[in-house]
Amino acid sequence: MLLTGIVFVCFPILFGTGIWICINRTSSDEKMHLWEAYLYGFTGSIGIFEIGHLAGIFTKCTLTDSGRIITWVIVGASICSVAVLFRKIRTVVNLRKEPCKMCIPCMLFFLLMAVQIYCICSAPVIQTDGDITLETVNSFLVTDMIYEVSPLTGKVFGGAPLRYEILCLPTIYTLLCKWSGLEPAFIVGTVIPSAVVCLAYMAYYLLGRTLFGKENGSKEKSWWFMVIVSAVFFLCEQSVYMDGYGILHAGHLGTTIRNGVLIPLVLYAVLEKKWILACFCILAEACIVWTFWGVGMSVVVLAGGVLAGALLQSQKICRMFPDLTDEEGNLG
Amino acid sequence: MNVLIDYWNLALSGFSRFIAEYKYIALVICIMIYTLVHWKQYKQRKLKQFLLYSGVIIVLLMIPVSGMAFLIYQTRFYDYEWIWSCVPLTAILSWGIVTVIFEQIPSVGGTTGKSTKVVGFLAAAAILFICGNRGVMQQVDTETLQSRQDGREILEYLEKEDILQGHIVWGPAKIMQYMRSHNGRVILFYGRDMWDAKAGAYDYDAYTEEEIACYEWMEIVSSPHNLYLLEVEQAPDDVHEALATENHIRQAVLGDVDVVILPSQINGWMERKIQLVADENAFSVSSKEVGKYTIWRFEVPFK
Repeated sequence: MLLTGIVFVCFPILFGTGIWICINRTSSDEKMHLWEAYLYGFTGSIGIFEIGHLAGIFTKCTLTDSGRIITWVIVGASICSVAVLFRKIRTVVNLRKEPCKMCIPCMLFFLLMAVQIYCICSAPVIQTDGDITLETVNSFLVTDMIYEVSPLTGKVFGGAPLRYEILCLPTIYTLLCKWSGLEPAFIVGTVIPSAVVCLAYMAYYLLGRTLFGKENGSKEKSWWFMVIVSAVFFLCEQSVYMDGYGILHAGHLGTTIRNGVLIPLVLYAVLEKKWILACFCILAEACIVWTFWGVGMSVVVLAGGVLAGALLQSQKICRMFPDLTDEEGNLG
Repeated sequence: MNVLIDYWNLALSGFSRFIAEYKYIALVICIMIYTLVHWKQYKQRKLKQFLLYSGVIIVLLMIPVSGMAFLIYQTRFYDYEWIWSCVPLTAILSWGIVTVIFEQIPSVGGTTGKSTKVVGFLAAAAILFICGNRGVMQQVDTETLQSRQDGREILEYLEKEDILQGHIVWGPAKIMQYMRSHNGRVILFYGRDMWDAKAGAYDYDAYTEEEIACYEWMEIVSSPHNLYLLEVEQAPDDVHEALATENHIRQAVLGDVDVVILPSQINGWMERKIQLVADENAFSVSSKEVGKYTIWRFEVPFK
């Protein structure tokens, strides 16, 4: 159990750092942020699990075999990441130069985050309509196969739509249960939502840092931004469509991971022009949220963000809105 | 054409439902207007890109025609409210509050002191509190907690007696839901898609009329409200009608159900009927009270 925990905390950092170094190998002055590396690793890990999940669906191999495939891919990715890391060790050593100063909003934010995690761990799980994750995980565990029986009845069934079957979250949770020996209800209802809260804050922190830029006092503003984000999560959770509901009551759902982690991350990627990260998010969404044969919301955010960037540089638009352009005649 | 009219109605009704629930949208719009007024002050390209994207997408979602396009894009499986996923509402709200406080509070107070900012954040917290859930968080209702407790007791009994593998269980919806979500070996007569329409989207299977009738019968005879009315002798006719028939139990047994969970309160009505069904099918029947429920088990005698 402890080993599984350590792997799941350390692997995304290692893998994400490897990906980050590969992407930024040409620019030597770029600094890596630990949370960004973690989110690269997180989205990349979803891809690794998807490989095992698809193998299970299309080759009809057992879940244990899918788990073996995933384990080997994780081992391979770790070795590659370590190799890349040793070659560019200076980049990683250089990752944070500024001292981490604890300020009041920073402490307030961590306090609110701790309270939220406590709430997730202690409160009875609310059953969201249409959420069949727990049933699916239990079915996978008992049959050691992916979608062999109906998750809702346990009987042999006519099958689920393929676009739904390829979503890998139930396989991730099932393998976590298998590897850690913990109960599915605990993994799905407590461990995953707590991890998703942390991931959401990582994504929001990166977005906040970008929005407030490097001007004077931006660090303090970023932390206040995080405080307000966590307050909104706390106070805005009356219906299933709200970010707060997902984060506090349904962290294991694909839609929550999309809205809480991937959408802010895509926005961050668009604003920072990190196109590979944006593509990772789009692919991760396709692996975890049922979009039928559509491509999901991350694509809308990416396209909209790119379009907004292009509009800001468009001279025609500047001439249309002279009141909004600056002295140099730029809208942006 | 009818499909488009449906989408149009959905866009209109969905938006009014959304603003009724998500009161922060008014605050978000205020922030967007504030940024438009102060647009020239912002020098950072990334920030302007974020605001422009957010502003345009909010306007597009508010206009029913473009809202329809988003609805078609996300498909009808998802409710209207999900199209707002592409708007970073939490980020806009949080950025806006911090910006307004840092830009406006010092000029209002005439000082740049920290205390004025603290007052500003307290005011923001109060607004968020009033527009939000006012400190009352979503909770599991007591009836559901009770049914989970009942489900746990029954599941523990079935696990202990090893009555799971190869047996088909039929009982009240909430009990069956708990059992299936906590033990993958439980096989149910029908699944949660019977009463949770959203759960039905995940498979191609459909239920027969007999199965639906069995579900309706079970919910009538096991509803806590009906059981209370029965106790005070004020039960409506449909409850008495349901208690007078064994047809649904017969249907369930024909559907290979061999474990039936019923409230112990109606044992007096059920005992003879269950025995009748068992005799018809040459089964032996045994019962065990677990908590508020009785587990009836049909068995082939020579097995």
